[in-house]
Amino acid sequence: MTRTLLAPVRALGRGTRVFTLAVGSWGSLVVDAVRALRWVQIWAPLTLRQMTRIGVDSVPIALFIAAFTGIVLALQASYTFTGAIPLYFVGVLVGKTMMLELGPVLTGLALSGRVGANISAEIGTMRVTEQIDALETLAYPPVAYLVVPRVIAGTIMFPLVTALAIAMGIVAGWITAIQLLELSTPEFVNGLKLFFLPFDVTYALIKATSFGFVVTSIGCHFGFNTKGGAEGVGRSTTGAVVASSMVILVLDAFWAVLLL
Amino acid sequence: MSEKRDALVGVVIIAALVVIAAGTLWLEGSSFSGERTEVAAVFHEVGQIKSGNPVKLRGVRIGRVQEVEVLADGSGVRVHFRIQDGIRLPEDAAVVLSPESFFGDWQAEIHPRTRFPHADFADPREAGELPGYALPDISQLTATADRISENLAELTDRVGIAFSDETARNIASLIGNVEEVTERLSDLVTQQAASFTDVTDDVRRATQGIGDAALEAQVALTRMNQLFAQAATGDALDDLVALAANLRILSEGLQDTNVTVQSMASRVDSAFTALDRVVERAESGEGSLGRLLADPTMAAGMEGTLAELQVLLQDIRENPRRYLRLSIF
Repeated sequence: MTRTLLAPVRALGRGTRVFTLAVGSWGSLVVDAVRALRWVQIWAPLTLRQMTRIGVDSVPIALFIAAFTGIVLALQASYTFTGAIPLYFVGVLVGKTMMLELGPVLTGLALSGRVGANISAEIGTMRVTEQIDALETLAYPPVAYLVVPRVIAGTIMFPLVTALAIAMGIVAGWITAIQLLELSTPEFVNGLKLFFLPFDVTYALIKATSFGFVVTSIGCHFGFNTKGGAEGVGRSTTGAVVASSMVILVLDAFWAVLLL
Repeated sequence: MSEKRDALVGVVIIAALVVIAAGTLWLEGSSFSGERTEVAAVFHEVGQIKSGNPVKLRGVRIGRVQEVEVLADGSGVRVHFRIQDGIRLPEDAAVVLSPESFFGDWQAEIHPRTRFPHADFADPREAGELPGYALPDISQLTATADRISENLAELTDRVGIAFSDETARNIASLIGNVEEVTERLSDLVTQQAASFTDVTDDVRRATQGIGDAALEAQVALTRMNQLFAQAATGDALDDLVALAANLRILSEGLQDTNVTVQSMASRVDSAFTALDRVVERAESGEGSLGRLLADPTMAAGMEGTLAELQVLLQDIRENPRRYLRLSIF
């Protein structure tokens, strides 16, 4: 009876302990990565390759998501803006929403599934096949070899991919507005410029940079802590995607509170 | 393979940077070419103007707001603008900030100051600065309209209180009285019109009589002329002199009679006045006559006295010796 009553309390305590350990372990990995920056000769040649895998290869999926997001935004805006609100506000809504929210967040979520899962699975497999242990045996710093290039590549490439995605979303919204809605290009551009602030772009890039850092670092963390065989790799991959997505949303709110 | 990968990464980075830089500059309204001139203006307050808002001259966009800063002494706001070079501003140029639409976007317009003679422009602090004035925001206008509506509501309430049922009845009664007065005035006017018609007829008749008299006088004068023209004029004049003397005597007699009549009328008047006083005293119950008229007991006493007097007279007639004794010796 007592065990049953205490079960939720125990679950809360266990969850807190696991969360704290995970955050601590992730923080420890980040600190190790910062320390590993001194091995430039190890991570620098690998960074470009990771930039290709994380950034360049992610551009098509990011543009695809952004394009359809822009189309939907334009259509939903025209559906909503009836009566008193002029239709050129479609440009306002598409531009502001893509820059401030949907561009960075949707790109981050999409790349957390693609990049985070990829990193976690790759490093997790190396962990369960003891390749990382082999690197350590050879006195080759695994963090400098596996983590630093990926985190640097993700931190650099996420904002660039996000910028392209934002531009694609706005272009898609513009094409939708002039093709499917009774809106001209000058009207859409007027709305786009109406409430634009340069800080909007800065805000989007700050968010995307933070998303790139957490997605890659969390993917590396889950991969480094993979245990067991193929099942463990799968579990780590799933955990990395879920954790990255949750952190992206938490960071989204955090930046909004802090910067807006 | 490595070179291709490097190129791909480079292309993505360059593309993203170009998109970020060019997009930001384009959306911000920056021009990629052309010289720019900086202009500053001072305002008491600037509404919702901010960096990047358009600057217009005669409705055409010629630049944008560069910076908004509060003056060090806090007495106003200085706004810096960047406008196209070579544009000649009006002689008495002033900057007016106003909402560009109903949705919170503002603009700065350069106008001749004389276009806003009643606007409270802030005085420039430094040479080259322009005076500035911010038009009221929609929210301020709405607040003013709200105050007006509140005042109207209060006024309506007061009218409602003042215009009670009793007031309505009084007004209805007043209208009825006015109608009655109007009817009476109408009747009076009708009567006066009839009287005026009569007077007019009288005047017409009098005029006719005067005209007839004038004709007769003319005939008489004509005859007199004929008489004067004849030889018997001297006799006629003598007769007329005698007639005039007689008439004078008669007139003097009538005048004396008139004086006598006036004197008699005066005496009659004073007699009537005295009689009026007596009657007035009698009516008010003063004096014997008044008491006799006003007091029924006195009248009864008088009647009793008269009855006794009649009995006494009757007794005297029947028995004179009882009261009179006549002896010669």
